[in-house]
Amino acid sequence: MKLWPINSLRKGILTTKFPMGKNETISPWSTLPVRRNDSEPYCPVNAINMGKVSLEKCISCGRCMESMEPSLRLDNFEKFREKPLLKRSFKIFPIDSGTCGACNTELFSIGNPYYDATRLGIFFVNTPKQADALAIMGVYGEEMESVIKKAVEVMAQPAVIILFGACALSGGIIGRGLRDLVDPDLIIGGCPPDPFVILNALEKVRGR
Amino acid sequence: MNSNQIISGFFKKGQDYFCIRDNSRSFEPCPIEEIKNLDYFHALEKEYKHNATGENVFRFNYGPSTGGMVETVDFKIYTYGERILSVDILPEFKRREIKITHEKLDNALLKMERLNGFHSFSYSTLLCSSLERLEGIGIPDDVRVKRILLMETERIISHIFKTARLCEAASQNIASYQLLALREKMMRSVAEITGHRYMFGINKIGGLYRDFEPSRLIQMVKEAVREYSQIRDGLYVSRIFIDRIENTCKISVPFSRGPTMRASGYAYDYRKMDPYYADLDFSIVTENGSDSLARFQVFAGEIKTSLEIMERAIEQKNADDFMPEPLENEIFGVETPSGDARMFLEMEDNKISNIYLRTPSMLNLEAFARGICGNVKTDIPFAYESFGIWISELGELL
Ligand code: SF4
Ligand code: SF4
Repeated sequence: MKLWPINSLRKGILTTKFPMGKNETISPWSTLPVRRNDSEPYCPVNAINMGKVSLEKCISCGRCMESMEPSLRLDNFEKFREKPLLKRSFKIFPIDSGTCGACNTELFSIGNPYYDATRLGIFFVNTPKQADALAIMGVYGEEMESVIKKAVEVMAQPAVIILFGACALSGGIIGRGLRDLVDPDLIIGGCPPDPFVILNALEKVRGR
Repeated sequence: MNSNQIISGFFKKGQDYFCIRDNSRSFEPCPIEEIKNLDYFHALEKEYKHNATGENVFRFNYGPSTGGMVETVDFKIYTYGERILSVDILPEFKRREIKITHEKLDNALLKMERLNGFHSFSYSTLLCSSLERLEGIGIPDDVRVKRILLMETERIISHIFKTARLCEAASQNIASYQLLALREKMMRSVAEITGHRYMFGINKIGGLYRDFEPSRLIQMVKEAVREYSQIRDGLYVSRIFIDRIENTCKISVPFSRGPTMRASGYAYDYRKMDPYYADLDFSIVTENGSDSLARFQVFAGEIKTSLEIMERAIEQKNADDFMPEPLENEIFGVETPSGDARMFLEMEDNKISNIYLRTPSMLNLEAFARGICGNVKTDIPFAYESFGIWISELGELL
């Protein structure tokens, strides 16, 4: 079947140069909003305090748009780990605790040809035993507590624990978050996080 | 084929039970005996009835959290080797309880669009249009048209994703990557046009929070459909692809929903009953194979139809407000990319006091459990996704 390679050649190189180059796009409201005027902002989840938006609480809804606007920045994450990971590859096992589905598909998006996370040595694996990092997303669910704890237990140390998306960080508007269940090395905000923010955060926690 | 006798949902109101039948926009009283006899809601009631016994039969666990699956779901597979004799699907590991009643309506809307983030715009439109009808709120026809444009775009993106997963399973890696790239291209454009890749935060009761330019969206979708058609044509002549998905997970049951149902010859599409689509003439895409190949054919046909609907919706925009007559005992509905979702709502003091939502995954879960018998374990991930099942939409609305 000669058609596929010809079609691929026709499309050219789609993959971003990020992080060496600049990100080509960003999902505006998935980035942290910043002030655009002095009016009192409305936020359904009380994510805004003194004009500053909490990356853990913000659900990317844009309801504050009369007073705020998307920052379009890639800093919607925070890392709590200083030691760089000296490995060339970084294997991630995703766990869905109680998502709407969008965090899951957005995390997997970094594998599509536009981002091609494998060029940076980032891979998804099928079991936590092979993983360097767990990316836990969604709200707390009783049935998932033991599944998450077990996954953390079987991982080779040092393992990186990532809480991913507003639901996991604070419960968002849906339920209870996972901060009191695990101690994260990295938190990534957004509902859901944008793929460029995800790549940026993963590279930073690796110490790159 | 006809499915109008099918009970596709039921709920309790006071002491009485009511049911939803296909082809009807009103709910009707239903004897409890009839509801008890329905055998396709078992998994939701935590009754697992697919266990199999026999010489050398053992139970194999796949899940709840495993690579290869997008969401958390647990399969208990009964087998004596590679072939699946029977399977129970346990969705309750990630069962979310989402409080909608007695909430501020705008917060209820934010929660509703997070019921299934992948199909968020269909669900937010379902809630907005239902509340507008119940409260007698008219919307400019421009809003109706823009909602249709976004729902159809969401359908196309969803169908492209499912096709990509089918290609991956059939080792058509180049096609799979091309489709994932196409989906990404569309998501980026959607973000640029609407402010969010998953269309969160756009819908508003009585309108839209963020307006957008329809011509840009249509142009983008046109190009995407053209690109999709080239990939589809390549897949149609790929023996490896066709052989892998033909006869996989074959099922023909009238309770299945959406493309799964239409791939087994049932010409049922809620858009034909939806007042939003009343003036929009389109043909329901059906196939008769009932397998993953037929579902792929329905996705391909519907992608084309969605673009036609979008173009027609723009052409036929009215100057008057859109405000359909409310019906007595109305059951609201929307055709999500996975099939029809039906909803019953009651209001009190300008808040929702009672809600029942039957999503397509609630029925497709059982259709999949029946269809996968006789297939091999490696068929599970892609066959499952070709049913458009999202565990997230099995969450309970309180
Ligand atoms: S985007 Fe939504 S959640 Fe975030 S600060 Fe604005 S209003 Fe609050
Ligand atoms: S954070 Fe947002 S996108 Fe992620 S699971 Fe929660 S509602 Fe869905």
